[in-house]
Amino acid sequence: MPLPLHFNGGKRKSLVNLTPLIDVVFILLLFFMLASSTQVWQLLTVSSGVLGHAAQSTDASLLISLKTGGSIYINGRHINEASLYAEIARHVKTYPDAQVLLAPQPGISLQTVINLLEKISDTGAAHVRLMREQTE
Amino acid sequence: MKQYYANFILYDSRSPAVIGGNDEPILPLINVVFLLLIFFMISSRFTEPSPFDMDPAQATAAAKDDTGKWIIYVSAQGDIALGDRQTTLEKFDQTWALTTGDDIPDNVQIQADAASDVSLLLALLERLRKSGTKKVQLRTLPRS
Repeated sequence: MPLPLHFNGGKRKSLVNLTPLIDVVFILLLFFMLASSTQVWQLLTVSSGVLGHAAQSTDASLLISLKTGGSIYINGRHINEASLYAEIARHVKTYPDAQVLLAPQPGISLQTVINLLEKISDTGAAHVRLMREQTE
Repeated sequence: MKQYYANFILYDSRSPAVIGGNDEPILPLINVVFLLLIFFMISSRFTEPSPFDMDPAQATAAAKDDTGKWIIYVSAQGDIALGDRQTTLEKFDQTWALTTGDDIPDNVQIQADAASDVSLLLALLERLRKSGTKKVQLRTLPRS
């Protein structure tokens, strides 16, 4: 039912009744407000590889293993998170083209890996790759 | 009859003597509503329906969305969907070939739940790479 708009004491008479038009415009406005999305998606480019494949790693590359308990190993050596970033920063300063290979163990959540990836990128490492252990 | 119809257009039949006169008080409202409508019509991007209820991963520094054609959804439970077509990791290659046909996309986006297992994502990346996809991007939300 259209919204009744009553105005008393009008002096001029309008040619067209505006009420249905306003109804339709309100409905259109509601539709666009509800159907539109304000979420801004961001895209994070990921490059990946498989551990054990030839030409994936070089002497200068760093292999960081992330275990389910939260422990981190760098080239097979246990390291705490604070010294990890310092070590990566030192390494990429010496070898600017060094690859940093991040191998998370199955069971680790995506958000944990993204957090670590971003912190590694902040150290100045330009080539960070996600690695998966070869199973097939 | 003709006169009645004219009256119907000019005045409201419920209160013929009242309606149709002074419209000025609601004109600013109509103006604002029109402006809002135009704003939403121009600026809005329609919500893409996601096949799962998900809490997407968050990131700080990432490029803005350039709206890719191919989006793969991964839920926290490990369900995979290509658009609205649900599949599993085992059947992914088959579904992917069926969905894309001969036109292998260069650029694919993955929208994964923050709690999803990263090994599933890595397995997907591997399969996409083998199928000929050159660039894979993760769809993330800005950190809250």
